[in-house]
Amino acid sequence: MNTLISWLHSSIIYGTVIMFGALGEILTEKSGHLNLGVPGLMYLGGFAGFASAFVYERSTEDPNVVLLILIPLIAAFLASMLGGLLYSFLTVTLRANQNVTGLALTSLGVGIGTFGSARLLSVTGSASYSVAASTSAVYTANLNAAFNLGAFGQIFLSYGFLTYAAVALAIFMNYFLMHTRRGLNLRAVGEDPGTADAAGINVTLYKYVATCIGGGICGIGGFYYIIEYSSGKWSSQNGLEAVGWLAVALVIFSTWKPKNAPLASYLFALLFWMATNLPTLTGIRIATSVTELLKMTPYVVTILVLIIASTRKKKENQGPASLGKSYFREER
Amino acid sequence: MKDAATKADAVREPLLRLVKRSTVPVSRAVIVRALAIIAALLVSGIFFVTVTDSSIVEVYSAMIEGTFRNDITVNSFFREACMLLIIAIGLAPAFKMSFWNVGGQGQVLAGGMAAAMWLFYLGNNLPNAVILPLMIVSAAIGGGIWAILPAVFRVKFTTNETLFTLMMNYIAIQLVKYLRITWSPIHALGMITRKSGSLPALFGNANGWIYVITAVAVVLMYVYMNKTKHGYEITVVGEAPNTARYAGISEMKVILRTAFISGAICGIAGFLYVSAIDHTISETMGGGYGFTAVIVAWLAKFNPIFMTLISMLISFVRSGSSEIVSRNTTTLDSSIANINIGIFLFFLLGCEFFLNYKIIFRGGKEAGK
Repeated sequence: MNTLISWLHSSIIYGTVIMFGALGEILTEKSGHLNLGVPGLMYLGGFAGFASAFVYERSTEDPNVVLLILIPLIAAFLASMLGGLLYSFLTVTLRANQNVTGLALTSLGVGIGTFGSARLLSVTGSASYSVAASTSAVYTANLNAAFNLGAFGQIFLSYGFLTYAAVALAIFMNYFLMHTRRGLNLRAVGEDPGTADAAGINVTLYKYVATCIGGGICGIGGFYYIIEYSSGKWSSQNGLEAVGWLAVALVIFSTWKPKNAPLASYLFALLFWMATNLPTLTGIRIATSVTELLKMTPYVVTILVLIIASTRKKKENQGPASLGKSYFREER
Repeated sequence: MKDAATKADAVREPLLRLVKRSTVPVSRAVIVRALAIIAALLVSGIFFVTVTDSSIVEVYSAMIEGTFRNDITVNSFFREACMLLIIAIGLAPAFKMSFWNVGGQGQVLAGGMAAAMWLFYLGNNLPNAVILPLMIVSAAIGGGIWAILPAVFRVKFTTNETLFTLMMNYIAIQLVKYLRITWSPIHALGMITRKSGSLPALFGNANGWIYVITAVAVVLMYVYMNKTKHGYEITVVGEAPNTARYAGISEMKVILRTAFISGAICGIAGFLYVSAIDHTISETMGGGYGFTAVIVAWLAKFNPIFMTLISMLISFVRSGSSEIVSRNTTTLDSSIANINIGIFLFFLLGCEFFLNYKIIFRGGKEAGK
């Protein structure tokens, strides 16, 4: 029972990381831009959020709770928004290839993140990681401690507020895309920028804003990963890159619909933690080497989902029609 | 009404607008790229000046010294350039065919695993003349399988190959971790030392075979892409699939064949890592070159000569950055090379715009279009 609870618990946390990345990427892709820079953006956001919290905690004896929440959140959002801005400048204005630009953004973001972590370590002089303890405490404060509700509390209430914010964001994004004029315009830009342009929609502006805000959301995912999943510890080898790629894949898994993102990402995370939890749960002993093989599951499932999604040609489950293509007004 | 419309037209003529260029003179292509490299050098120089306490002259001289100081640095400069180049050479035909193979890392690992198995199990029993060909052939097949799987589904169901090849990277990474633990239960697989299975020195240079194999790959790929029927079919399938169908070119056959060749060359790169560089396998083998090679192949427009030049530029940036890191070990670490390479790639990517488009200011003529 305890294994089951901890499996669900870690899956919801890990799923939330992927969900933030996927939601950011859905918003970006709705504007017709496939950004393969998500791992880099998550690194940028995770590092900026962590570093700002770290610096703030060291600068004051008595940290203010509101500032502890706001400073890292804004820093994470802004840093990866800048990454998104760089990407959109190259792909929207300079019309560079989207796949290639995204990959370059990934290597730049990962490089900046690891570089920064080395600098932080040289400040603390500690061995392998640095900690932002107070920030982590604020971000992981939850209701489970207040009410002792046993298993229910551990499964549903034992998370910091960002975990619930991710679900709220998914619901809000669904409302925005499906029920507001701006959302409709954004989808039009992604489906057919030429037509959207002719209808008087500012295509460039929509692409820029969607990519930048999408980047910012990815960055919050990176920050959440550090502060909640890694309990506020930052080390250079932290596995954020793999999470970023899973987020890109999850966009397809949730068929470009934000409302599908929460369940899809929790399911994904359950598979991710299967390798460590299922053997304990079922009482089957397996070798460590086999655990490594079991850890393939989420990637294999992603591939299966890709294949199934491509065999079923339902129109509403496809991505935006102009995804991956640069828009040049005079080329029609 | 009419007046208002003409007035609006007059107001709306934009300050600058873009026209697509049809051809780019060679001189312009060279000048624009050179300017981009100079700009990137400036930015990375300024970056290093701010993170270290050295002057900009010291930064540049350190970069040059780190590459050309002695035989060891020069050899490692050429070796890294070759490894990046051979992966880029492998990816190029796939991209030319509009098949986004971003699974270079996985294909390198798959080839490396295939080669390492011969080394691990039979390295003491077979002579070099037998085991090395076996290693190289199975590495090519291993890498080829890793690339042909996504291609099969792309052909059958138009499954997105970008994400498929990406996921194949992680499957290869997990397989390597599995092998490492299986081969060394205490989780500390070091060098696999066997009597044979290591590429010998050539012309007295330990990297000799790497240079030769890469050079052969570059030349063969140039001929294959430009002088053979296969190369022509790749171009047609990539640029005009409908024309290909009309001309009776089997799209399926071309895609499967090209994907296999693409993966096989990456697999051979994996063989080089196992047999000539690392003498073991690890999941970090190939150090992210799978992605960098994508950008190299793209920037070079799949031209093997440009690919060689860009690989050397990136290798120079890498060795130059490492030199600066080694002079400031207390404040910097090796990740800085990635930042620096990122800066160069962004400038080179951005400068493509000035080759493909022409900016016309308000009232300007479109002469010479």
